[in-house]
Amino acid sequence: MQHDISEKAKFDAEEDLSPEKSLVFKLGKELYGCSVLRIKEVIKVGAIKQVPYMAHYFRGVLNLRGKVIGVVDLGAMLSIETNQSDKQLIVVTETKYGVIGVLVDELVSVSEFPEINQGVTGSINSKITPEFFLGIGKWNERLVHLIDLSGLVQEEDFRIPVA
Amino acid sequence: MSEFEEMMHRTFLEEARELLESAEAGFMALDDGDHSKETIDKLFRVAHSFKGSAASVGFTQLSKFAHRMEDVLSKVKNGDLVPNTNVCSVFFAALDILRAYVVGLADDTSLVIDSSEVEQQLQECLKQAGQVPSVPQASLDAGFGFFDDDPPDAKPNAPKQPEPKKAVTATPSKASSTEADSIRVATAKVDNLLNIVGELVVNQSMMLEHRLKGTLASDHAQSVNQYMTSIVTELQEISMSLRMLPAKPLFQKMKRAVRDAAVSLNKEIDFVCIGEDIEIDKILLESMTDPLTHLVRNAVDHGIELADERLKNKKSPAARIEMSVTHAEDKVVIKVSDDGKGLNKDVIVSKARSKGIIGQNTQVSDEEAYNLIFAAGFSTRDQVTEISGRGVGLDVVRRAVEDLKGTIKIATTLGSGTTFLITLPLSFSIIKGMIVSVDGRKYIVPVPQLLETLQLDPNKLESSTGEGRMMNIRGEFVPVFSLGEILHGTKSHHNAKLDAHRPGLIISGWNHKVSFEVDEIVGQQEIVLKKLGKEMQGLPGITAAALLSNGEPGLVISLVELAEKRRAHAA
Repeated sequence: MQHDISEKAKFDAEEDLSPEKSLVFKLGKELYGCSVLRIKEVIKVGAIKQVPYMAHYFRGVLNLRGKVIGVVDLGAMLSIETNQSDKQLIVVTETKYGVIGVLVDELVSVSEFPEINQGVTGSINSKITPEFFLGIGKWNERLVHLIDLSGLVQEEDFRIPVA
Repeated sequence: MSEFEEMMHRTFLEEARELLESAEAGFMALDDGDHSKETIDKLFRVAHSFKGSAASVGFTQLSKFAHRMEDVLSKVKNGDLVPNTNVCSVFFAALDILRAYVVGLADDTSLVIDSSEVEQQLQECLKQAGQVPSVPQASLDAGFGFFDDDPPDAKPNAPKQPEPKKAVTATPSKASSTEADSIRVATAKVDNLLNIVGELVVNQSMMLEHRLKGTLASDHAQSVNQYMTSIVTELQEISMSLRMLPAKPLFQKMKRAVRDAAVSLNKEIDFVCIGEDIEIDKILLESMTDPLTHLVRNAVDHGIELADERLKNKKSPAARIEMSVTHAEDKVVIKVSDDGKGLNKDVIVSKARSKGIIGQNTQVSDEEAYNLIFAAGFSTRDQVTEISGRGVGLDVVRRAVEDLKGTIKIATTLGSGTTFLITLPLSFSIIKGMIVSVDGRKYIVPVPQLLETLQLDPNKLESSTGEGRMMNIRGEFVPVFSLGEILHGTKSHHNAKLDAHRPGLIISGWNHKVSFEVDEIVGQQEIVLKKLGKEMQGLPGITAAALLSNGEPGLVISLVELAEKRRAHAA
């Protein structure tokens, strides 16, 4: 009996979250969106300290209230030219590596995308493989590239092989 | 499996580990000739508890096996069976089966271990004692209600809390052994902690009041602030002490290891333990067990001579092995010494040559020679013995110690014995760090790793093509590595001569010193080690992170690891 109840509760919870909300952010000139489910928080850019033997787009480590987390420059990782402005923020997301901060240009909104155009098979950015490209959504008449942010980040090996 | 069942299993296994430790201690005492009623009763209760609670959580195989032990123990209890060395060996073997169950059941609840051999031996013990009996059930229940060690989740007919008994047999903070990632803390420590936190809360509200009133600059506010500083220091000390547990279980395991090795090699050994009550970090208790076991076994096997050889050399036939744990400043010192034959430099050197560990004509100092026994692939015995020669050498011990940021040293006198001196950091969560700056980036070096820091004198720096740069430090040639080059690939300082006296950090790599050149030594600070995310795992020499006093993160680097990598790379 106990099982049935908890199963049902879980089901209801899933119902509530659908359609899923997405975090919309700016990277260079384009808008990107990712599900809020694995996002822990969005923080201001603090002091980031570089880590040796890591790829250039791994910006370094940051003190998140006593925890030291890694920060990835998503624009650099995807070879997108970004705006290094003070509007930049860090999206803290859960990955298989643990919690990682993802540097984005600007936060735009949190929206629902009931209609996702999945007809587009690939992203305009060749670094976003179809596996992590979920489709195109629309926000205020602008196109939003919906991506699986955690998947994209955790797929990457940031370490530079040391000879 | 339901969550409830899982919880029951976990509770049982945790309790079982404690029962095992208490049994181990009991059997050691029994083996040492303590045949007192108390000891035997205690052992009997342990077996009985094991049987009862294992059955109650559904581990029938384990329960059955414990029952066999209980049968034999009941014979010892009523005087039908004398617990001589042979009988104790059987008990120890049985204990190992119990332990294997306890470890294995955590992962696989349907585990069945083949214990037929030991059961056979137990059966023989019973025969030795006379007729094969059934358990005297009635007397059991009558006699045990009061003392029973059964965990609270046991069957209703075998009830009672273990606590009252524990107070006698073991300290309350007794380690619940390795696997469970939990810790048993003395109630006094927790009370103390709560007390201090209470103080902190009161003081914080006083500060809040001062802030609201705008009287933060008043004398009273200043003194409250000062008091708070001391509270925080105390808080830090108490929190650190929560991880500290008495070294007793470690000694117990060593006693057992010495005993087993001595029996199988037919050597008589007096094992002396000093410092069972010394509290050391839980990590040390866990990670030093295997290396120390190896070390004491090695002492019994290789260090101690056979009795007739000892007599010939006018030594007492009973050898002595001493293990001590002491605190020295911010370090834990573990000493294992024997009064055996000592290390023979010539034998070691020729062995190392034949194994290709050193070149045929390489000359080594005494100290270097002794350290060769820590080299991988070194074993002074030709045949592999069951006791200490399972294809692993003392290099395993050295590695384990180095992993814990400690050092191991040997002192030996030919003919009269060998001493291994292991020095380990006292705490692993908070350590002293030296902050250095390299190419404008700050790094933290654990102070325990450092031998010394000095100014690298360009006039004493020599460059040889094969070895890179070497520095003459008080007559000793020490390789100089540039930390900037290693970490960032900066080449700027690489060219032979330095323009100025730059700081050098000297560490002791494996039997030789290595120095690392940095731009600046910024200062020292107590640091709390923080784990790095998995994406940064395995980076050479980068072991953890920590927060600097300005709140910015810094990376903790292991110079020892960097030196090793460097050496491996060069070789």
